[in-house]
Formats: sequence, C-alpha cells, structure tokens
Amino acid sequence: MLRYIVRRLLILIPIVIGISFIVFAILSFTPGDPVMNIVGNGADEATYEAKREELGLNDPFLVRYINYMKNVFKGDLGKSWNYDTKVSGELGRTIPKTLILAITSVGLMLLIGMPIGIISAVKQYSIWDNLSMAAMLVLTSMPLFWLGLMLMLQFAVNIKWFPAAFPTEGLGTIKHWILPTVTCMASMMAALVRTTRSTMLEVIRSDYIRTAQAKGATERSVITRHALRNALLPVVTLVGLNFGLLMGGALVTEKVFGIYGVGYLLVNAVTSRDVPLVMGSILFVATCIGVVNLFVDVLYVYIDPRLRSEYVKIKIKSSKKLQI
Amino acid sequence: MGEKILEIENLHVKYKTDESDIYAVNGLNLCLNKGETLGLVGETGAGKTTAALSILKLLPKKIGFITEGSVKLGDIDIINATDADMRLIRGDMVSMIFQDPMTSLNPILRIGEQIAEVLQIHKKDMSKQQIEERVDEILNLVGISKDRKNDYPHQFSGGMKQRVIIAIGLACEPDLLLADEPTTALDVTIQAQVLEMMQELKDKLNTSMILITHDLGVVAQICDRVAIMYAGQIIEIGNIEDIFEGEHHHPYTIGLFGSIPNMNEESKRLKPIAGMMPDPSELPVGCSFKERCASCMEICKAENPEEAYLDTHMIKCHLFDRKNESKTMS
Repeated sequence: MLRYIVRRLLILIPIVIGISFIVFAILSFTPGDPVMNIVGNGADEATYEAKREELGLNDPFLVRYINYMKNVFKGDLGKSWNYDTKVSGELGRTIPKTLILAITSVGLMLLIGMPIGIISAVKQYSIWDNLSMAAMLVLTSMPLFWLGLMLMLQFAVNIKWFPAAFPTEGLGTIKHWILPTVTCMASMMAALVRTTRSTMLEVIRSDYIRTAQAKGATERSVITRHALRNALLPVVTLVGLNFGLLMGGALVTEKVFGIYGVGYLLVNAVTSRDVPLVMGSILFVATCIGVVNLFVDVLYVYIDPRLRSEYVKIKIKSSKKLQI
Repeated sequence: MGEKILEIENLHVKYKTDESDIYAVNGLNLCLNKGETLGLVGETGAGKTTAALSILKLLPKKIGFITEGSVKLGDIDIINATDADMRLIRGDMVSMIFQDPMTSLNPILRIGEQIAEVLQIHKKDMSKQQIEERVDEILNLVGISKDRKNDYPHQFSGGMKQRVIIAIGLACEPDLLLADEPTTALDVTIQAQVLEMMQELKDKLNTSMILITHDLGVVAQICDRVAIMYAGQIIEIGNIEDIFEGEHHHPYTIGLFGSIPNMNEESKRLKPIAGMMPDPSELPVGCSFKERCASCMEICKAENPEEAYLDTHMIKCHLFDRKNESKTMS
C-alpha cells in the first residue's frame, strides 16, 4: 500500500508542474498589461520600464517560467505584484479559512446527508422519502448566493443570532462560521442525498442482501453491516470531488459572507493579473485536489477488497501469511 | 409416514406491480417429512422460487404478498409469525441456498465472516473461539481449506462460492434446507460434486430438503419425492418411482419427460411442449394447462381439477378424476 501511495505522490509532481506551466502560459499570453495595473495610468516611461525590468517581464516566456519554477523548488513563491507582500504569507492567511469552511461543510453534509439518503432508500416511497426528495430538489434549484443572502437577512439581520460580517483579521468564532457552512453545504447536499439513496436502493435489492436476511439478520444489521459499505464507493467519490473543489475556494459563499479565503484571493489575483499570487494559489489548489484524489483512491481500497488485489497484490499475500 | 416438518395448504402468493397483479402461486399444497428430500420441478416462472421464499417470508417487500393459505413449520404458524419470530427461524430452523453463487455473497466481507455471521445470530451461547472452530469445521465439510476463510468472495471460483453458500446454509444445522437451483450456475463436473456433497451432508445431519430445479436428472439422483409445478400449483406429486416409472401422469409431466432427449432412440429434434404457460397476471378459468393439453376436455375449460390420489401419487387433472370415479363405482 505504501508503495502505491508513494508512487501516486510522485506522479503528482509532473501533474502539478504541467498545470503550473499551462496556467503560467495562459497568464503570459492573455492580452492586457499587468505593469500598467501596478504603476497606474499616469506613470512616465522610465518608471514603467523600470517596473517591467524589475518584474522580469522583458525576459522571454520560457526563461520567466523556468526562473519562477526554480524559485518555487527553493520554496519561494515570490512576492505579490500588487500588494508587494509574500505570496506564502497571503496563502497562509487565506488557507485556514478555506480549510475550515471545507471541513465543516463537508463534515456537516455527511452528518446530515448520509442518514437522510439511507432512510430515504430503506423507506422508499414513504412520506419521509418523498419529503426529503422534494427538499433536496428545492435545495439544488436554489441559487447559492440567494440562499446565503436570505440566511444572512433572516438570522443575522432580523433575529440577530449570528453576526453578518466576517472579521477581516483572524478566523472569527463558531458563530461566524455557522451561516457560511450551512450555505456552502446546501449546494452539495442534494447530490449527496440522491447518490446515497440511489446506490443504497441498488444494493438493498441485490442478492447478497437477501442472503443476509435469510440468515436471520436484523434489518439494522443488514443495512449497516451489509448494505452501507457496499453503497459507500460512489459517495466517497462525490465527497472527495466536492472537498477538492472546496479547496479551490467556495467562491460564492466566501463573497457573500466576506470570508477572505483561497477562492476570493484567486479571483482578485486573476482580475488584477497578479501572476505570482495566481500561480501560488493554483499550485496550492492543484496539490490539494491531487492529494484528496489520492486519499479517495486509498479509501476505495479499504472499502472494497476487490480493488485491493488489483492495486497491492504482493502486500496482500505477505499480510495473509502474518495472519495465519 | 414420519414426522411432518412442513405443511403448506392452499398457498396463494400475489405480486403487486404498477401495471397488474401477478398471481405467482395459486393454491399450493405440499407437505414434507423429516429427513425427506423433495424435488420441486417446473419450467421458469412456475412459482417454485416464490413458494420457497414464502416459507421464509422473504418475498420482496411491498411487492410480494401471501394472500391466502397456511404454512406450518412443525407447530409454528409462519403466516402469523412476527418479523422477530421469522428472524429466529431464518438461518437456524430453515435456511435457503440461493440460485446465483456469483451475486449471493457479500463482496466486501471475508467468507469466514459471512459464515460466522449466521452462527453469531443464532448461537448466542457460542464463544468466539467456538464459532471460529465451527467455521473451520463447516468449511472442511464443504471441501474448502480453512486457510481460505480470510479470503473474499472474488478470490473464489463459482463452484467454490456455491460451496460457501451451502456452508452458510448448513452452519446452524437447519431442520429444513431450501435449495433453489443450487447447481444451475455450475458446470456439470462441479454440479456432480456439489450434489454429492449435499447428499452426504443431508445424510449426516438428517436435514429435510426442498430441491428446486429444472433438471430431472438431478431429481432422480437425490430426491425421495418429486412435485411438478405448473402455473403456481403442484399438478403432480409422488415418490421417485411414481413419477419416473409410474403409468399414470398429468399430461404436463408426460410433456416434460418427452422433452428430454432419449439416448436410445434416434430423433432429430427435441420435443418441446407446444404453447406457453398462461400469463400469471390473467389466469384462465378451469385447468391452467388446458391450452397446451392434448387430451383437453369440455370440463377442463370450466373447472379447475381436484387433486386425485393413488396411494402416494397425486395428480391434479380431470382425466384422473373420472378414473377414480369409475374405479369407485365398479
């Protein structure tokens, strides 16, 4: 298993380098002048040229890319062109917020969505099932920003349970996170409930569930021991995907609640053509998505023994000897 | 006659679907003695599996219903038993071996765990150690090395999986085993092995068995009695000798035997029974076999025949109703 993980991590390196190259190329070849943004419209020729030289923009594209990557491998992500602060510092300020939002919303989604999906499947076509399906339909059709604003209006402005604005410095308190978490979760929840329900339905009708029933197992044990783990694979995929996406920032939620997370940072950086900042964020997001995907794949192997023999043939055999 | 272990009287089972109601079992009568093996034969869709599932009340939820009749397992009335009662019966008193070994085992649990589960459910007084030992023992019985109990189902061949399923079925030494085409998914060599093994186990544990199959050869090999099912009813039942060597038969049974190729005669084609089984959503009035029967009479079109007994042999056909009458008259 360890060999597999190491191999996957090594594959991640060329992938991230490839992504960085593509993004760097896009940033370099899109029209518009980043220097003009920095020095301002009224600047004279000399200042302009000096800034251009300072940022290294007079070098050919490949030279610039290689210089940038050299620094990255040294652990230096460069300085933001606009703020003149270290990119690592900017990321350090934003990543914790994005992480908190991703973890809380995915966690809450699993905590609420999985049971709803399972119950909907077990009690198919019951009132509970119909109600939850209708609720999920409403949730998916609701625009995220609208939901965020409505929650804010109701719970922060009208009944003042939670603060409306997020503090500019620091991570805020639990109260600050509740509304954003709920908003962020709402968009993903419907997909989770539906996936859980449909895979559970499929599993419940399979022959081995009938075998379990014929053994005299209780319904509870049939569901938890036999059905759930078999239904988990698509759910894990979905959660992994969502989590990876959230690491790139839940932009709408961040904007509505004024949380300065990675998504916010990235969009600001792109609009102001702040190349080091964009590159730094993209490297972070790409690595995160890669790692989350790897985590999901490893989780698969733990859930489904059929995959185990595909990935780690040698390991299985040696561990079996130990058991005997 | 020995002690009766199973008595089914006038069982009716209906499947409710969106389009129509499907009458899968229509007035099934059956009884089974302790230690006896009954072969349940009939073409696809005759209601064999449904009948077996009704005994365990494992019909698909909200779709399959027992509408009429009684099923008695010893003294226990299955129809009125609660879910909790049924759970005690399933796997312990009665266990079922399912048709398809490929899909009947849970792919993510080790086979040892799957066999141990049934023991954990029913033999609460057994320690972990004892359960492990029992699993080893039962695996040995079905001819699988105990070293393989930590393997997953995908690491076994079809025949081996079927053995595992049989091991699950036999783990608690049930009084009654419902074997639903246990050998259909297997190739002929494995089939013979599995049948031989089941026969041995049955003798060892004195289990009664209902063997559901299409294969009359298998029936002749291991059954004591045979029941022929057609359109949800048993139309003929008797000892092996009655069915395979007796003179009188239901026309359907004659057709069924006629469709087996005879190795001693030269024939170019198989002889199928012409026509189809009646649509189970619209059962005909009268005898359900009338459309395909060569000796169909007026009465067959109007009335469902009564069961006519000749010692151990029962035939449900108007032809034999009258023979009985004439016999009693003369």
